[in-house]
Amino acid sequence: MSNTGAAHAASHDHGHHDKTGTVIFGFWIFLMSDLIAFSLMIANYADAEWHGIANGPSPHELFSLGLPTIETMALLISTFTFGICTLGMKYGASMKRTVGWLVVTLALGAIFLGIELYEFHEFWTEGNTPQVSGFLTAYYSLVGLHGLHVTSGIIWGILLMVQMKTFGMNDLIKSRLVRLGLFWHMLDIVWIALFTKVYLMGVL
Amino acid sequence: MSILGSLDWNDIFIVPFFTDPSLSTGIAAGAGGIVVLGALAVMVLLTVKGWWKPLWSNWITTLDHKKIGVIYIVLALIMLIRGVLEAVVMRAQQVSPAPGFLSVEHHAELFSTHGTIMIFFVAMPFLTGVINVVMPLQIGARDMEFPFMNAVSLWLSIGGAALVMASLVVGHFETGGWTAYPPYTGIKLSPNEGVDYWIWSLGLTSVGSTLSGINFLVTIYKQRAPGMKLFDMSIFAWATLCTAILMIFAMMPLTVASLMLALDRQAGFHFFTATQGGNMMNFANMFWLFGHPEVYILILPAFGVFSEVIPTFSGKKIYGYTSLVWATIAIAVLSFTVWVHHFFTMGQTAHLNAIFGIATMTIGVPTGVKVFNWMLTMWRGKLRFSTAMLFSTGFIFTFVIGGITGVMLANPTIDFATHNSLFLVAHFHNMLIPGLLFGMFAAVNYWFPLCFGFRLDEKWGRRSFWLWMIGFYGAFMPLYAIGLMGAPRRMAFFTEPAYFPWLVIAMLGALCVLAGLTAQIIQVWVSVKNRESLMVPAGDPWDGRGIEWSLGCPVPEYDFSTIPAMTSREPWVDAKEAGKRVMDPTEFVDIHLPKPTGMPFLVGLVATLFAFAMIFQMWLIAAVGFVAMWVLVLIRSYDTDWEETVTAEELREGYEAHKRVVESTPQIRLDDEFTTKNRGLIMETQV
Amino acid sequence: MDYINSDVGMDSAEYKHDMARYVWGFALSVVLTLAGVVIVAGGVFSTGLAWSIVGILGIAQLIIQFWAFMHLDFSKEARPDLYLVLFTFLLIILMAAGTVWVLADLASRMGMGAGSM
Repeated sequence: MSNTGAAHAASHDHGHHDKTGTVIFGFWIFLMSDLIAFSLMIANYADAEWHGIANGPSPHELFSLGLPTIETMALLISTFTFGICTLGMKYGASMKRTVGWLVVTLALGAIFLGIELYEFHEFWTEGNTPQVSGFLTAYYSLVGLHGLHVTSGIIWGILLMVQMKTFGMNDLIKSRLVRLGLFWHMLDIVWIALFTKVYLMGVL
Repeated sequence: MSILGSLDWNDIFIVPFFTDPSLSTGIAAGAGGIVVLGALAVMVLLTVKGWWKPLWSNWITTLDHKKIGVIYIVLALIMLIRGVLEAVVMRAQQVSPAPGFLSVEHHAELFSTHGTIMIFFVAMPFLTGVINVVMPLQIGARDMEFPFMNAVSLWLSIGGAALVMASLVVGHFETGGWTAYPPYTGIKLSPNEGVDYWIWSLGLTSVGSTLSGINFLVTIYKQRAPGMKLFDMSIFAWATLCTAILMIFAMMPLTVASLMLALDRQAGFHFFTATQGGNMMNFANMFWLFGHPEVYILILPAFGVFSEVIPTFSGKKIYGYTSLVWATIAIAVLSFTVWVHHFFTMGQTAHLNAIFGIATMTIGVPTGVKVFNWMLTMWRGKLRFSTAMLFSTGFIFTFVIGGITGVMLANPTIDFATHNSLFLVAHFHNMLIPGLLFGMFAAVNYWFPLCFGFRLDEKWGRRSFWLWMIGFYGAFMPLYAIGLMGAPRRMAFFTEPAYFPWLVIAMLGALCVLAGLTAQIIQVWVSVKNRESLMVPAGDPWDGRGIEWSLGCPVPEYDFSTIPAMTSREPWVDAKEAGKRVMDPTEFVDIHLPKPTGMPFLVGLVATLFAFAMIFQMWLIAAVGFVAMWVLVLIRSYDTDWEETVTAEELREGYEAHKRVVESTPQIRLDDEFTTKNRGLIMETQV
Repeated sequence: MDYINSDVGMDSAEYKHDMARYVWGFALSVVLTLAGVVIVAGGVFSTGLAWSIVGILGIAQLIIQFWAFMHLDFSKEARPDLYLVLFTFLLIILMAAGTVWVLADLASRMGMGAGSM
């Protein structure tokens, strides 16, 4: 972020600067701050998985790869479909097409979430609740925090579709859609770390 | 469970006094009474004077960065009064015959609220307020980049502070110190709502600070005046930039750690419970991942203030601009690499401690660079000891002592001997009182005219400085001594007679600090009373150097009638040297300012309600509060008509009016700076 | 960078060029994810080696997704975002790796082996 003064001066026409770009940059910073939270949760998980098994199951006993792989694929496809959605929007796609891809994305997000909740439910009914051990606490909170983010992304998406109907595709709505897109892509990136650390390395 | 959760009659502040009358419960009841009566008195005053409406329309709903800054500073000062009073009570407790007049629990509550308040509700709002007022003016911006979010941050901080105040009236605060380490703060050992007060008041304010950090960073990045490169910015703006980065990244570990603690307490999770595979050391670890950068969040803005005040009152430009900037950046980055020195005694291997010990000492290097920069700025300057300058020079002396004891503590072997002793307590007060409070006091004395149009009374300002300075030495030098003699911190009372004389001196020092604070209140009172004679309508009452001084005082809502052309690092100095008394306007254009809105206030109110409900486990109310908070945000997102226009013509008129004031203001000499002849715009050829 | 508006339509070369980036990103992500799963499920490699490979695949995918979906590259428009992300990762390494290091060091001193406490 150094010496962009000259470029900055050129784009700065006395108070009417590029608000959209600025808001998106601010949102990037928020995402980075959020990333710190995830990284601390992962560090806590790494410790708990190692020293915090107590009387509960170990990751090796708890996890299998089947469902998490499907889950991962659902989220991966959703991040791609969101890309199609925002890219089309930028190049002037119809509202119908944009909303269509958004619906597909959110539906895939819901599938991801459904699988995650199913898995939680399975573990829970086997008696493996977060209250059992430090490891399970770390597992539920790390994966759950990500799940909460996905949930809020879905709610945000639905509310945004309502706003698209109200306002049409103006720059404000477009900017909001792009920010939701960044949020969604970031969640997929976080999930790569989670899938690798929790499931792949856990099963090993 | 009832809708009121765990709340019951015994939580009301006055009840314990009747069920168990003692001096300790009496003081608690009295403190709660002061809060309640104070709130009532303010309400009566507002009603009698008919100030509710102006308060709402001019202050509560404002999105103007200067007013938001002022509200932050007022919040900090109110909380400072409480924090200092608590300190005095604790000092009095330790000089009274053992076991003193406070119960051990009550004393523990006092040092916990004292620490929490001083860090989160004095220091943070104070520096955030000063940044809010000054930074946009120094970079040639008209407001923060996100004014609405700025106001939301403000009201979240106020909400957090309100919760700490509420803990005097309803229930208790925690007793585990401002760091609140588990397992002591776990549900088993701290079953009451105290720790939850700590968690949720910090939760609100740390979210507010994160958002403030984002706001400051984007504002500096995107809103600088045309032509202003990063290395043209004032040192204060640089300090703000680095502080903002620390705020963005360092608040998160605190938020995460405190929410984990909340889950442990309320949901039976095992993050920090040793028996079930939790790891309580990770709390200390995460707390200081936040806590150490936090120290620099607190100190960097004050460094920035000194870097503005010292050149002005030395009549010289800052010595070694570039080295100061790089020192600031180095401190900001290094601050993330030293957190382990807060728990050298937790049990790590010696080599790990050694690495962090060395990293800690490294921070002394850029800090030392800064000290030399300030001293060399003063070297051969024509020094004028205004209140702001007194606080700045007092800071340099005192801070260096604190720095030396800091380097001592950075050595793990010495730390093992002094850890958890009063030596440590003396050290960090030695850093934060000069390195934060003196900086903020200097800032208030220096920049006050920008907000209100008149100077603060110098006589009372200087008195307050000397009282603070003497009070500081009196209160904390004895703690170094008895700390080395072995006195542990956080003790409700001591039975060792050798400590006693030192504790008496410390008590007198604390009273002297209280007198300093009183002098400051008198200073404000006297200044407001004599504001007509202290007016500086032409602006620039100190022969200042930053572009904020090219504006009239008070600064109009739109800040700049035209955004100044940045031809050099100090265009205002250039203009004055060229014999001008007003900077040449660039181009007058229509501008947009955000409309006032009550929404941020409502968001803060509902968030506070949510947090309060979480503290007392009123789950239904908490859920309603949480949803309401987001509904308000959603409603706001439908509001697209949130700006109002100031026309080019109005701006031109504002500029012409300012020019007329300047032209009718007689030029005076620097020697008359502190007299009533000073109506602004004094000048002297720059050295 | 202008995220939200373009002068040209969806039949333009720019659109196809941008789209190719998403498709590549997606395809590579699928391959890397499945490769990780196969390595773990296959059990061909020793645990330590598999652990490292899976880790590297994860990091590779992370970089690819930042590039493909979040438009991070060395272009002038993306530079502020890039610096921001790089700085964040520096801090993440300091904080997360530092945490693991400190806690592991503590555990080694307290005789806490894996699976016991």
